[in-house]
Amino acid sequence: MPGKTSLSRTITIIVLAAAVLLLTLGQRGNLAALQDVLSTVMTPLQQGLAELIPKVSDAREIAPQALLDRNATLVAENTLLRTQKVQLEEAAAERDMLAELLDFGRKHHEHTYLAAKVIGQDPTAFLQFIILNQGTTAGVQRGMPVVTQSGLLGIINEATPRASKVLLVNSSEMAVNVRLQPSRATGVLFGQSSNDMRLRFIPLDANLQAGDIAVTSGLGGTLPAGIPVGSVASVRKRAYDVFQEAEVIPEVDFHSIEIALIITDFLPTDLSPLLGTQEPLTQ
Amino acid sequence: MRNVVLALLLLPLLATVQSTLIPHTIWSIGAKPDLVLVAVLAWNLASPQAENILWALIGGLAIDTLSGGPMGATILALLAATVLANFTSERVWASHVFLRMAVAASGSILYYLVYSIVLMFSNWEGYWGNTLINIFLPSIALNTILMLIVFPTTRWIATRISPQSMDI
Repeated sequence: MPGKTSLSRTITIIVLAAAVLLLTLGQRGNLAALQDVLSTVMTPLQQGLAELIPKVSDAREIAPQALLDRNATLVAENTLLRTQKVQLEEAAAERDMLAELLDFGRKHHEHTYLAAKVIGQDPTAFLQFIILNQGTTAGVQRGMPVVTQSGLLGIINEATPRASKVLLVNSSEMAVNVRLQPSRATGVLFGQSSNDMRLRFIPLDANLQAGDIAVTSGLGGTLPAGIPVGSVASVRKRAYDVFQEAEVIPEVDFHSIEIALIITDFLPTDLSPLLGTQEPLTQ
Repeated sequence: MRNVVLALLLLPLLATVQSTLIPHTIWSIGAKPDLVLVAVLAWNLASPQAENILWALIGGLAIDTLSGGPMGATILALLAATVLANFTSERVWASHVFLRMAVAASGSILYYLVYSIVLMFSNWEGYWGNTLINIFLPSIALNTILMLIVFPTTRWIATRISPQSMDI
């Protein structure tokens, strides 16, 4: 079938060219308009499906019970009561969550927060992003930190009018300057695309122990200081190394986040002009 | 052309389910089944047609819109997997269950490989050892199992919307 093969080859080349063009334009940052359009189409669908998340989570608990109960009337009544129970539990859980977020906001009252609902996670298996239902129309901008009641969740990596993508703190793309409590030693926390993170560049003389808390140090100007990030699980200290290292478990459970707070009054400071190579004043 | 319309309706929906609901189901173990990839592979096996290549473009755009990764990366990865499935779908033994499993497994490997290479060229940091053990291998297994469930439905839809032509 030469005709079919030729058509197939032509379409393959067109799709390949489209992919390469998109990658090139994306690298140069020229895809904002296209992403806004596509996001405008996909976000309502995503928000609609996000409403089903509690039902999907609870379906596993409901299913065995429903199968056991074969009486139609009782099943109907049971389902109704269970639905109400689920709704009440949802409302109670949301109230508790909001109370905890409020508590976090009170403790860190120096910032202004915008609450946002998690409407999706990165569909690819190996990138650590979540999608929030607040975007540029609500004032969200790239670089804003995102927290939960437990601590740092990540930073806004991309914002469209109605949604924003958060790069999670455990992503391999993330490096966070932290200070350890109680030792006050500083280090850099690197994500590893898994449930733990690696703390590096801690001076050898710092007294580190499992259970120490890592909070953002504010160094580098990318994040405000004092936000909990994780706790030390184990320490690796060898006499011949220049620095010691530690495994850190994040404070936030990334799989169960439903609502997050965006810190809207903090934007990262670009320190690169200050760090550039300069001619010495005197020789 | 009907299969392109189907792709336009189905693949964005699957991408959204993958982003929204899958992380909250029993699959939420780090690795996830890739619904869009499995659908594209299954459709290419069930209904081998030249326009099926467009499924890679539509599915890739849907995934890349919801993902934090570079736009175009999933299109390239899906394109590679689609070409592989297209190649095998024209064999005499295309309908054999082991071929479907082999296409799901090898298509997944190719998909993750191409995606990883694009990420590396886009200057993404990655702990590839962790990714291989925690994500790639379980995801490939999940996709292969999912293909066994998805393929009969896909073939049923394919026979109804685009009956296969036969050259004499």
